[in-house]
Amino acid sequence: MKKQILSLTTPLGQSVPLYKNVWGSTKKGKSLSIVGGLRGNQFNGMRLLARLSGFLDAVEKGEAAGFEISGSVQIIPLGNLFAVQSGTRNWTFDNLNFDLAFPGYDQGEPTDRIAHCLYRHTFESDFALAVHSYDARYQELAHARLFHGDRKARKLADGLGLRAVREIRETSVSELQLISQWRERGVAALMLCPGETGTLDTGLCENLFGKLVDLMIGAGVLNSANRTPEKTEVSFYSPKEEVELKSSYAGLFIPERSVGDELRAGDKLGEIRDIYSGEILEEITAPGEGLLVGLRVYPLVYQSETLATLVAKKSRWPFSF
Amino acid sequence: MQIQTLLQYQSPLGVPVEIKKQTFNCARSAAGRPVKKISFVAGLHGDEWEGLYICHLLSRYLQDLKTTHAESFLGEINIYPAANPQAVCEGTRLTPFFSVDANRSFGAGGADSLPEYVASDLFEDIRSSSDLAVDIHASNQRLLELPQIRIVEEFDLSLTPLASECNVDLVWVHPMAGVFRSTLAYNLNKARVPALVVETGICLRIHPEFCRQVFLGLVHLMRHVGILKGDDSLEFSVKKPRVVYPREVGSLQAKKSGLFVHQMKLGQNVQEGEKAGEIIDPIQGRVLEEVRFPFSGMLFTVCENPVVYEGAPLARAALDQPAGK
Ligand SMILES: [Zn+2]
Repeated sequence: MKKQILSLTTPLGQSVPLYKNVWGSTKKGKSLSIVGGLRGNQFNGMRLLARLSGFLDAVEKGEAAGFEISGSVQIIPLGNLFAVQSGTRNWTFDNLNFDLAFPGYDQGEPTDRIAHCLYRHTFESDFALAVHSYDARYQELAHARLFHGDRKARKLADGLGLRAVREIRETSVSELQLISQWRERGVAALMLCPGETGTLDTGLCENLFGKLVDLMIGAGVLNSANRTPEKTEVSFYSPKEEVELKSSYAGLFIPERSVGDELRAGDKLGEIRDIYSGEILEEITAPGEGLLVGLRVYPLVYQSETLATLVAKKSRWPFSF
Repeated sequence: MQIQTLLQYQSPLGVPVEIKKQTFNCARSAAGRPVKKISFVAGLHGDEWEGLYICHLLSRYLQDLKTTHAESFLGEINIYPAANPQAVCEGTRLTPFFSVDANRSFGAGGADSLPEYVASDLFEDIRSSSDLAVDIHASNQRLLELPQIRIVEEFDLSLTPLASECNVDLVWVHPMAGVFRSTLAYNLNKARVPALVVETGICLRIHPEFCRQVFLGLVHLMRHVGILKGDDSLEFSVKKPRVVYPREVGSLQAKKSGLFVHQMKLGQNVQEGEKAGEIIDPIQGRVLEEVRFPFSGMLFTVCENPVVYEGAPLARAALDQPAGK
């Protein structure tokens, strides 16, 4: 069921509603909240949550054989409403990074109010997912992120079944993120990064949809008579098990691999060429074996920019970064 | 005076992006002996040009002083007039290409991106060049500010006496918030380098009278802490600012979205119930809200951009009576 949870008015008097979709009852079983659209250009996340909402509607109507909602689920598919409307990463009016607007303020300006509303509607859940991808200049492997050492979140990530989980370290800004606020309130919370920002990959969305169904079954908010969650080997990578390959030169970066590739030491990832002469300035190679989780796809690069991110279990490393 | 490039990286055009600083030494430091050091930083947000102009006034004054009264220099002065050169050249708050806020990139505890590397190197340079630092900002595109210094409560005792020597109208001691954790000044203060944050004017503009006021204040600060000796070439009286704590600051917010039309003036003393302006509906030709002050006090922030959403700050004042009394 679609419910309006906030209404904002533009300077020309137009109302802009914020909605959530809800299924089941919070009075029984466990609760799961999923929030997406933290930026205006996260199309995989939008498609994924629309697909999941359609499925849960069908379950509630009894049209999805064998499935039954056993707890409660709520999805807020579009958080950063005005950024979605302006078609930009951030809302152009305030240019604030919405990912760092939490817990928000209910008497503040639109960004503060939306952030506060999202937080208020979700912080009492047992489980929560923020569907959020990062920089549109990178191709990203669909993966989950959590704060290093968060055991509740690790368990949830295990149930999601994506092959790579990055355990991120806390920074001077992380307390302003929604997943950090959830964790503060004892919610088992994850960030699901659904591939590349700014593009739509329907095949990937369908795959992630299946993962979310499995997660819901594992979390006890959805019952299934005949579906057994697929078993995937999930690898957790600590901050020390990541390496970023940087550009020593500025120029045009031409990638030769794709995210998801398992690399061996010496494998070429791409090269930087001089924009004027086309001359090769630098070849980027893997310093050791690892899984490619992030790759620069926006070709113009400054010196010292990240071109690729690799993860590898420490035990498998013949090298040290 | 020396100009050094403390940091450079290459853009895709092959052109270096350089952060520069000016250093003014004294006889003692030239002889390699320890002296007190101060740094002035501006342009972390590229659309805040009041700070660049204040740095220019400082630099011009110090260059003249070097030729006429070289003996007045007792310490080392470092000026970083355009700490975020790419953003300054494009007049944007965020660093172009990377779309990050340079003053939310400090203290990350590890650098993942080029802006974080730059922040980390810049921080280290400022930290090692300062016993005291001043980071100069203008407001955002919407709010015009009276020259003021802002201090996070936990640094009140060490910073307020210094801020009171800067010829500003107001020193605002405010509570800590998560957003400050990644700023230059917060991290300098945490690293035991006292750092003051000046806020003055508005972005994309220069208010020469405010800039001159802050410039004189910073000269006085250098004299006060013993980095400059007083000289007869520049004599002026120093304003004692009003120091306000959270309960002494009143905020006026929009109750409706629309166009805010007002005649408020910075520094104006207003009374509770007095009319501040109107929020109008430009489509229907109606007045949506007759905005009245919910406090009595002296205005130190006024809203300059008429397009407002519900909740937008319209004015801030140093209250005549602390709230709750
Ligand atoms: Zn600023």
